[in-house]
Amino acid sequence: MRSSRFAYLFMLFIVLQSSVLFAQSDSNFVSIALKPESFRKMGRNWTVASNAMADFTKEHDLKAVKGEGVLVNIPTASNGEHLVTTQEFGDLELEVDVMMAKNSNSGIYLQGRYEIQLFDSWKKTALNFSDMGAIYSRWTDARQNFEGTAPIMNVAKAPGIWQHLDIKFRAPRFNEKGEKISNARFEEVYLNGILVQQGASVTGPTRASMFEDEKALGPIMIQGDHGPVAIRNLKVRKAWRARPPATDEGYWQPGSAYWDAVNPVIVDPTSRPAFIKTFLMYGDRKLTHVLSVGHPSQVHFSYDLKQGALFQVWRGQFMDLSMAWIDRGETQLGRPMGSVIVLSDAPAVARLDNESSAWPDSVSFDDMDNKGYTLDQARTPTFTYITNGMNVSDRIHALASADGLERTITCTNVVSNAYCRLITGKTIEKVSETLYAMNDRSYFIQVDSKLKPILRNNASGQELIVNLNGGQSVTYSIIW
Amino acid sequence: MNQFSVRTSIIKPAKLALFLTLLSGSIAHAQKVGDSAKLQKEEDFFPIKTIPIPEDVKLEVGGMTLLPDDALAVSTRRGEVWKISNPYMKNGLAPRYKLFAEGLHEALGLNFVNGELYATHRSEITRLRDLDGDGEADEYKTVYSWPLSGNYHEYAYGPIVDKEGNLVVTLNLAWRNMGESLSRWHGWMLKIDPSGKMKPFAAGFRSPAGFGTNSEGDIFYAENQGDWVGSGGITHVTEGSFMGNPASLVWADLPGSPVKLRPSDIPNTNEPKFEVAKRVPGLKAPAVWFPHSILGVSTSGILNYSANGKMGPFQGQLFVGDQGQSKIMRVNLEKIKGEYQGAVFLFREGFSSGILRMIWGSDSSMLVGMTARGWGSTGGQDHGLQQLEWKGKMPFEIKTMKAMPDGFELEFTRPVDRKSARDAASYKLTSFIYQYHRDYGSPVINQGSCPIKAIEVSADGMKVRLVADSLKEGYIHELKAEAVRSADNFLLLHNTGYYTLNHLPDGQRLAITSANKVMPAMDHHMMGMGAPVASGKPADKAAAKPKSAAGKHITRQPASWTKGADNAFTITPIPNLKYSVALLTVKPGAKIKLTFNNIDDMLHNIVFTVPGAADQVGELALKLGLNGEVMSYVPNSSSVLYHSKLLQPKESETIYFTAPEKPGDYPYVCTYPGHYLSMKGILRVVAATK
Repeated sequence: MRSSRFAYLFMLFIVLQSSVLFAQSDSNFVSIALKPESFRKMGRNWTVASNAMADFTKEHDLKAVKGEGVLVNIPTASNGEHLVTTQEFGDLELEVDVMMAKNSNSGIYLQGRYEIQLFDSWKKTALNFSDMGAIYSRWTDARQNFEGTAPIMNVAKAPGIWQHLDIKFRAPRFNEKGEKISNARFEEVYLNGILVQQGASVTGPTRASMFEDEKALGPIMIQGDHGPVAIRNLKVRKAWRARPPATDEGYWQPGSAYWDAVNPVIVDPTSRPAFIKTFLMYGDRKLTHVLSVGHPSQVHFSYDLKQGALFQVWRGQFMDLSMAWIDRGETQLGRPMGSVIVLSDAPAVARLDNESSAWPDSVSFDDMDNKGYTLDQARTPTFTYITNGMNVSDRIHALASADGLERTITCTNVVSNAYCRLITGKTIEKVSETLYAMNDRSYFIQVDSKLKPILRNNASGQELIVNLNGGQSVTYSIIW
Repeated sequence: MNQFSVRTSIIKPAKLALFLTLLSGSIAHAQKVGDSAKLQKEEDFFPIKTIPIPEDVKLEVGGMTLLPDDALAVSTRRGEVWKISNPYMKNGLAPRYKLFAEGLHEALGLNFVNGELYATHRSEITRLRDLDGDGEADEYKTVYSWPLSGNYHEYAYGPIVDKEGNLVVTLNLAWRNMGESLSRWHGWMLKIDPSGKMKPFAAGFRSPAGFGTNSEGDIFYAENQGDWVGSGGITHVTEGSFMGNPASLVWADLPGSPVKLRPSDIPNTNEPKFEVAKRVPGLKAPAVWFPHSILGVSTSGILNYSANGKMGPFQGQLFVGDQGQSKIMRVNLEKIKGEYQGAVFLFREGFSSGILRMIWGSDSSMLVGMTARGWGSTGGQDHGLQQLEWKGKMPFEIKTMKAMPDGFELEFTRPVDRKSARDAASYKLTSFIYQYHRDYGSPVINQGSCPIKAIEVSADGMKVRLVADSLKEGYIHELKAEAVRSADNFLLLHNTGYYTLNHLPDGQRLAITSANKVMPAMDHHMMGMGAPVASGKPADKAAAKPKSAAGKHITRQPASWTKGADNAFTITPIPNLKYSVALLTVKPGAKIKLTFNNIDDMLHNIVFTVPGAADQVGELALKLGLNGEVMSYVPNSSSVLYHSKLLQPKESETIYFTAPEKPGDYPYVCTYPGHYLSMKGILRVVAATK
């Protein structure tokens, strides 16, 4: 008795140990080189490039930049080959960056069968199965356009911006007779960091799949015949770690193991702008004097009233207020629900010793006399404050096109060497006289053609500043 | 007359007892006055009307004010301001709600001052204007702003307007295991003049959610029990004064501070606050203490009974709300030797949620705004808006209780029955006080009797003069007048008052005559009602604890448990007054080690009872009254099986007990006042399966 029990325990130990080892060995991402040898056959519509560029105003515009590391698909009437990996996969987590051209269409087929749709869904507020991050519908002889799952929300960005997809896919399961015993399932799909699919089963291959049957393994296929698309940083792993269980940390937080049923409090404006004042996290700092403004076009932002800083913008749903409005709201935190672009929390207006002086990180509480804000008929806020003796007004509104936000900063009583900083980032690439691409094409800054911004280096990268001594207003847009 | 009357001639004694149990506790002793005393009910004089709220409006009331167009403006914890037309439901019409402003951060104050609407929220006072006349605010002007640390407990309240036209606000302390002032001016009252210049006014506040002025324009604020606050109360705030919580004093060195005290000046000695105040100039003891759990657990809004109101014959008094107990108290103040003091009575119970704000409606009714989120309230609702009216009928009440050099003078609202009013057995007078210390709350200490020596009833029967022994300056004096009847044979609507005797007045003592003297026999009777407890130190906890409690509170593992415990559990409080674990399943006779870790910011215990007795034990704990805290709110009852002590915030205790042999559901409950309704769970004893 005794010895066999020990033997059992020992075996169990071995099993546990080996499964841990297996999980570890397969839990690291492996890059798939974006070179012809990684794929069955690379059609002439696919080009190896170092980068891609797309003008978000031009239909199907996509250009390859010479070099390596990126694949650019520019299909023509005669060339529209799909890209199919030589390797085959079952369960899989896949990450990839994609760039869409305006109104373009493509897709990623897991096992060559089950498609996550790639589409230029920029600015759309009504979504269906053909939008970016959707599971595209099925099509059989018996039935057309069925199933398919629209994304949970639209966090798609503008054409010409690198977008990120993370797909956790569970392959179908078969018994020893080869009969399917469970459907393929997209466990989680994240677009630009935001969950757009969860627990979505697919009963069979998507329309336009490579195969009509279902198997335990299959290649990754990227659709090449529908429209221009670029991909980079394609990587996969065969296993992923489960989400860690809730811990005692965050005891008082909604969602912790100790909350039996929490109905989340979500504010998502549909008819007119919404204004929310809570605390907000900025990295590991908690900002306390901040206002978030949500717009029905799903272009949202947060503003630090004590810095005059537009410090984050996002698309998608507006805010989850559960941490602020349930029970005592111990953290008092609002949480943007969409895909956030983090900007600087430093003041937008400052006085520098000279044109090469470093931009200040912050303005002290007592040196910033915030006066509040007014709303116009469209409920667009104009913030006003006094800093360095200057009266500053800062108007921020969602562009009517919904391309992004337009910001106009106007100063009176301008002191000498006063500057406005439009933006700062790791890299700023001048695309045209008025357009700049930020941080390796993750968003754009479009400046008023009258402005002559100075592009200069700083400790963390680059920044665009404008001398205010000309006395004019500074108008620019953030487009993403 | 709608008044509810009980006559023993028509209801048998046993039924009467049952009846009385069902009625409010304040009249529970009516039984002993026997024959034909009639009872009054609050609702017969002061009916409560509920003002409907649309389902999608979370009217968690933070502030209320009337607007010139007679609409009611309400600011909410979700940062909105709603305009409510016709809250009085005149002409049979329902009120209409319109969103006036949004995007404030927990707007706990709203006021219309000199033609402008001001909201106070976490970070600032904001002036709200509707510039284009569309009924919505479009200018949110920052009038004055202060830093924040990011701690949720840094609430801000106000503004009220003072005699000089300044806006007055208070800033709450942050909470991190104790009250702390993590950012500038938290724990202070600030005044902002019309030019926008701020002047710090007073310090030492902990949780100053309610403040207001009396008819003289003097500012009073209501404080909640907590660290350095033994019990709730209202305190007169004067420039440079210090309310008692030293956390705020870290800012006393800043320019403009009128407060001379520094944190090191504040001793932590367990003495009563008035004693400490004698040698710490500037430290203010409350004008009126509100005994914790008896007259509230979380004092809130203060409303002066001005000419704007119509609420019975109490003009000039203050009404003070309570969030946790959903009720309103009434305070009569007087100035003795230059300082305010006075008495507090229960005024009206039974509101639907946690009362935060009261204002006078334009019809002279009282509009009562409520929110209970995060703390709970006996009212049970999450939020609410109600209207309190006076029907115009005169309740039989103690209108005022005033200090005399040798006792008190009670003024009644209706003539008293001379016989019962002259009878010393109709009264009971005791004194007690709380400790002033860093700990959260305080037990009642130094309880003593104040034997009544003489009673004189005025010729018109409206006043009763009581002469008593052993009155103590600085102490709270509890007067129970349970058997006093009106000339038309009614018992008092509220028969207990608490007078904070900061000073005994000078003046004429009543000459004791054979006509007013209390007979020795009666005197003896009075003495027998409660022997004085040794003064100068806290009531002895061991003595206060019933003998039968031995074995119910074991904090060391019994030596006989050689193999340790069969089950070890850890339970904590979680939000909305609950335990983290709602069900513990054990075997009959299991040896149980249970750690109760109070991670909350208020006091809790855990008490295991016999099946079905959780509510009964919770109610018994409430009735412990002044003895509650020293007994850890554990009643001396055979229904109690095992219990922890009363734990301070962030304190933990491990208790050991053996589970009952009989399978069944044994409730556990927090018996701290107000918690038992929601904070409970089940110890399920399940026989081992075969």
